[in-house]
Amino acid sequence: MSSLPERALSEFFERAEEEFAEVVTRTELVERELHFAGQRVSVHMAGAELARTLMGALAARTAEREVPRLQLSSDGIPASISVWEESGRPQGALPVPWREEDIGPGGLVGRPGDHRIVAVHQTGYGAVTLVDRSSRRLLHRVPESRRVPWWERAAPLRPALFWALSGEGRVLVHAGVVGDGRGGVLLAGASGSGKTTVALAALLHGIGYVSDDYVLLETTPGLSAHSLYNVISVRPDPVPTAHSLYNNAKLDLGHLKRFPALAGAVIHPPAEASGEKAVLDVKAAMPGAVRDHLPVRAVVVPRIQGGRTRVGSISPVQALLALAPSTVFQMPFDEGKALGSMGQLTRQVPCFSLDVGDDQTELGEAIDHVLEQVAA
Amino acid sequence: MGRSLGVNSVHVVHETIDGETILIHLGTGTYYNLEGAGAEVWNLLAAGTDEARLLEAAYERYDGDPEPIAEALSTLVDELVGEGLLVEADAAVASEAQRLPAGRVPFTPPVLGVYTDMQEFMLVDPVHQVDEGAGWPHVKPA
Repeated sequence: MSSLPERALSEFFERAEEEFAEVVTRTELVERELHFAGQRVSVHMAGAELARTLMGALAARTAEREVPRLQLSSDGIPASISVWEESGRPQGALPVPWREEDIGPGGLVGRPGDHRIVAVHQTGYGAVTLVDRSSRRLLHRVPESRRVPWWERAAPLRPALFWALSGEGRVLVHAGVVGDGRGGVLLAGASGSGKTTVALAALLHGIGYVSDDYVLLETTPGLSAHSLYNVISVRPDPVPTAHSLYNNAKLDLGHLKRFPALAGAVIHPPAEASGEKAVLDVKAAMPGAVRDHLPVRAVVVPRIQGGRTRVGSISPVQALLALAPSTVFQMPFDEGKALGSMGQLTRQVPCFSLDVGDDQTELGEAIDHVLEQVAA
Repeated sequence: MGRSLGVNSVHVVHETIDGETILIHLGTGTYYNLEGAGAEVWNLLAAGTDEARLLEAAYERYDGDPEPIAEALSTLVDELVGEGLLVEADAAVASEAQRLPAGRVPFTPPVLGVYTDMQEFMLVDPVHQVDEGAGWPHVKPA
């Protein structure tokens, strides 16, 4: 990986901002305010179709009106994300100043260290995210809204949200979370390990749903703030808290057949053998079951096994081996800080393995059993 | 005097919990674990201890014949270098002598656990598809 001069990124950031401003003059500007764990992120999108493409999965995070909030981030500045299509500029988009060898793991350009400007290039479909860490302005350019792949629509703006939301004691984690008044269970594992199957089985067992794949994890003990009926409640929060990002679930077609009760929730029905997953709008299907956040009382590592469902104890490192790699490989932007936060979590709460059997009722009962064991 | 080594911090992140270490190589999609003496030795190497000092510390820490201890640690260091987890470092940047935990314990040759199941996942969203001349959004010809 070569080193790209910071000046080149700074200049590109300025020119990309101008590009966004130019594209906006040709289309409708759609603005949304998203709320995550007491943090506000404003999103400014060039075009209604682009807004529909990217905001569906974030509908639950969109404030219908301004609510009072307590800003807890040390930086104190709300982040803003400007989003546009490269195709919105008739004369063609600005070429990026970096070359192939500058792009590292996760699409990170160069080695940002303490650079003010950071770039992430998702070359899988061509999106670029630029971050000004001091002003907390973020730019996100996609090639064309209709070419945004299904998996990006289901979990949009991940690199941008990583930079907007992560900070001291807060990290985006690739994990599901389910639970209720007894607390939350964090489901750890790579894609295909059974996180969604377990989360949906728990949902149908009457257990609340936060997420099947990405959560914002707050690991710093202390105060956390959550809006409640337009009033802020502040309480001591001694355990890590997981906050929902997206209001959907992604499931392989084969596993979808296990949940006929949720067939009506499918908003992206993939063709057979396409390799794509079905996307379910959990919030729309079962609004009463969706929770914005839960304190994490246990880590559960599912593994699709078939047969009977079984729960066993595992060590913190075994849980970390399931939790950390998929998170760090997808979002390797913070030089290992996320790994430390996840390590702290697995040290702090009991960890379990879960052999995922064929019977979804057993699966729901297994999560219920874990919650009973760890209830505060 | 042995090699001076350091963590390949461009690509490697690591965390130790309860005497066990997990290491993640972001460039290859491989992750690893080390237990017991392996985790202790890793943390010494990660702090910048060169191989000569590592051996001195190991002889103080572990019961056993020096020769097999030296051989096992040399094998481990070779593996860590071979996997790209450690890289050669300037002697000047190596820190002062670090210590292993106090007390003597029997020596068990360390085993580097290697996990490659995430490599396939890494290929789902390859990061090297950009045309070198034109830059993004031009895809490199196949």
